[in-house]
Amino acid sequence: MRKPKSSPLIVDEEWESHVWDLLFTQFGIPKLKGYRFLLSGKKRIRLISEVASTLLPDVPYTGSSGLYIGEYSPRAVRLTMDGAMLLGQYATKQIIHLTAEQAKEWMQGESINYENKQRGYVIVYHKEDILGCGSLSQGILHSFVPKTRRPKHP
Amino acid sequence: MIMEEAIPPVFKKRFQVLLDDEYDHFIESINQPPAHFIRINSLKINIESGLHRLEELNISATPLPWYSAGFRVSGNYKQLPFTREYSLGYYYIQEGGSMLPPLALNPKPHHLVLDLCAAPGSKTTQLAQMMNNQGAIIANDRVFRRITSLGHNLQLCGVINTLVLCEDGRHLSTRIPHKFDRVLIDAPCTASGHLRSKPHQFSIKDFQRIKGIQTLQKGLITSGFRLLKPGGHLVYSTCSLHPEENEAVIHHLLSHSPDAGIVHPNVPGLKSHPGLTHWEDTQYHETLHDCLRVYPHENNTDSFFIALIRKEN
Ligand SMILES: C[S@@+](CC[C@H](N)C(=O)[O-])C[C@H]1O[C@@H](n2cnc3c(N)ncnc32)[C@H](O)[C@@H]1O
Repeated sequence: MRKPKSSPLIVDEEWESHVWDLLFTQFGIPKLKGYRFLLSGKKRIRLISEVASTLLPDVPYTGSSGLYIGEYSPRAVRLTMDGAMLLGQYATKQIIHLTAEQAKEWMQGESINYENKQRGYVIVYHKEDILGCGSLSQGILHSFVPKTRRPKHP
Repeated sequence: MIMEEAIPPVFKKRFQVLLDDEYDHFIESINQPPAHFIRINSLKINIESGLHRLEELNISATPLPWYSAGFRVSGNYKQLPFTREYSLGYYYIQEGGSMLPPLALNPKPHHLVLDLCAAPGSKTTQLAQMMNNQGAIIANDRVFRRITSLGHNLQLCGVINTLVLCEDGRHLSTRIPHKFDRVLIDAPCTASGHLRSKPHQFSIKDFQRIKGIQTLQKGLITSGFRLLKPGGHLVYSTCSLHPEENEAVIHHLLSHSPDAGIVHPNVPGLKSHPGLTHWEDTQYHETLHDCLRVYPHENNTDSFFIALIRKEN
């Protein structure tokens, strides 16, 4: 049996503010109450409810606490599918809407042609569904839909 | 499906005693193909839109009388796991009977909840849904490789109020300092109640394992009860029909904990039988009558045993 990792998650208010600032600058997502960010490994941002975070010191870390919502870099946050679904609803910019055909391809993990003046990470919608977060550059929308979440019948 | 002739005689005899004049209905129902169920994950989509999307996928959904987010599905339901809606976490495939223990536990959004045997997380994700992602849940399971599927399901369902722990539940009371408002012990068991959905599990070897499993179950309920706040509620559940894994375990707790009392679970719309107050030569506490035995011929689900226990102040 593989043993759980015991490394603690970092809860650091300064870093958390930095993540909120990035989300606001990138997508216009405001700071939301009741959530805490944790850093797992070097880049993974996990989001956890404030109440649950108070128990962290007593619960040895197994890698699965809270919701994996994004990859951190000092200049930008790349949201995961579930991160985009949870936080994307508060976004005011960097939002794009796909057609049914585009959505199908994108959900399969394929990059698609998408002419738009926006650049960088975007929240991807089809109709009322948030499908995840993509990256736009030079007329191409890259997909980060993980293999395990690509539907056979998109 | 399982034919009556395939039931080992030792099982048959006890089912006849347990079911009495309902035995024939019981056998008839376990010979039916299993029903299929889903839960609409209201953490990601509201129930109404979830139903509308099912319609678009040609899946018919009949609401369960006892749970507004639970549905029996038919039609194109086998395709559901391959759809975009499923990938987005709008639905969770969960046996109808398995939705009952969290309902009996009835957690509130501000509660601190412990799910002692949580993997792969059907009930943890349901608890999080019932709590609207608020409060906090500690989801524990001893088997680390099962923690991976628990983590996957928590992620898929968008759960943010849960911490995952990998410990032997029997020793947890010495490992964490907290006391919980609600404790769920969905105990490891012989799964003898899964006759319809998993007939291959129906083996005489399981019968021989009962004693060992009972020792583990007693250890888990003792530890879980210790972790409960005074005034808090604990649900002990199994998908087994054997009294040794059910009433006998609750009887053990009641005999050793004067502050433990049985409460009748309030699950409107559910048909159930009372718990047993004796089995073979053993007499159990009279209050075990207030436990629930859920049989397939009554609700078209797998069998479940559910006990709701309160820790007196
Ligand atoms: C019936 S299953 C739980 C199903 C789960 N509650 C759900 O709804 O998805 C029982 C679980 O107990 C776990 N288990 C067995 N022994 C344990 C122990 N000593 N402490 C904690 N968990 C244990 C098993 O690994 C298994 O995942």
